[in-house]
Amino acid sequence: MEIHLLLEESLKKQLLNFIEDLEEPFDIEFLMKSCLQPVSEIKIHDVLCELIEEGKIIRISGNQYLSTRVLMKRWLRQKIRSSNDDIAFEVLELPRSLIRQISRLIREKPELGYINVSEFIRDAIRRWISNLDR
Amino acid sequence: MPKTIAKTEAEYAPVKIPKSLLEEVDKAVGKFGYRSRTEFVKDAIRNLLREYGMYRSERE
Repeated sequence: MEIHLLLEESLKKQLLNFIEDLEEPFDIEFLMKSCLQPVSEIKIHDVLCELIEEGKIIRISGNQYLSTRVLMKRWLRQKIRSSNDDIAFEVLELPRSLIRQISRLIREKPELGYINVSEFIRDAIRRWISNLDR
Repeated sequence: MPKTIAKTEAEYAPVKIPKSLLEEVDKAVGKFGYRSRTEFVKDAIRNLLREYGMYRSERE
């Protein structure tokens, strides 16, 4: 991806759009090379300082930066992975015809709030246990 | 490959369920006379689908 500098005042906006797609840390030199038109190091540095103040990027080491959005995505991925690690799962073989019916229900009745087949099955099990216990 | 195995693989799909919930299922299986945890879970699914008016016999 390259940065097309049409107007000087849009530099910050274009840089932010570009930066938010970068999964790895970046530095000023990399951003300078990514610009189609020449932009001074000081100008990019100033924009990065503004973005840091706005909380949109963070400086992770001397000259390395990362967007807060990418950082949040990484943190969430890690959080989801570790919460799944805490739960032990077992696999059950279930008829595809039933699974297809659940998928259809999730698709046709989004107001029920089921996100996926597993969630529906867990709910069905809990409800059935409590039904039988009554 | 024998036909029966191919048919089984085509008709069944694996679903991940938390072990703690399956332990509850195991207790209920014994208590309410189900043959297996799969039978119990299938019944649970059919009942909830029926509640939402979406259940169709699996043979259809």
